[in-house]
Amino acid sequence: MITCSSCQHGNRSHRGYCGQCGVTLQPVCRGCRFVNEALDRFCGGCGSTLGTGVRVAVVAPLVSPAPEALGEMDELFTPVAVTPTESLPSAGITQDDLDKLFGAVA
Amino acid sequence: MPTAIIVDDSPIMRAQLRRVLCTAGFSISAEAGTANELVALYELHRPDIVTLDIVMPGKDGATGAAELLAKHPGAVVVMCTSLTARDKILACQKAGVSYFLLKPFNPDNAVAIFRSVLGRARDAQAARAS
Repeated sequence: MITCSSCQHGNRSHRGYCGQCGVTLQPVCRGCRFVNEALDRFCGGCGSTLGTGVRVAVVAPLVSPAPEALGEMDELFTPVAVTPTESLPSAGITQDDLDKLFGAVA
Repeated sequence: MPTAIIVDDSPIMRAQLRRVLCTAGFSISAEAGTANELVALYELHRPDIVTLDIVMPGKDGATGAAELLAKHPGAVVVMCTSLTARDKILACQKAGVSYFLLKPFNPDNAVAIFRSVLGRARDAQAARAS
């Protein structure tokens, strides 16, 4: 069994991902301590067979997309301005609706 | 006496707004049938209130309001229109329009509205100054 270092869930030794929290379980070579990819069968550091050894949980870091990548996304998807306007219906707008938005004055 | 500029392409509507605003105690500084020269008109007269229609030849009122308020954030703009397009209304709100009055309106209510809008704007100015 491999204990997930993220959620402490016990996983069978062949698993590449934690069955409880889904993080990648990366196998560490017993011989050279090289951290291999999740489903590697042979160590990338020394070439030995990866068996039922230690696996470490690795959570992918959250990385904000680069501004230029966001620009490219805007070309694919129409950007939507999000404003707190839930009180304004999409059709049949009345003066009462407008008073809620702009504030009643009289 | 507070002053106002009326921008509406309909002469009948301009006449009605003139009556309403005069009853509310405003003096009319200028009238226009398009928002094309709105910023220049505002800078010339510095009115206390601007009433703006949206659907007009040339520049529409929502665009005119946005341009005016971008340059003069303290301008008090009241949209007077029958247009209920959500995107235009939200654009006006985002631009900083003070009030949105739907046509047709009751003249007596409109008198009270213009007085209240002016009072609210003056209160806000006084709060900013203190």
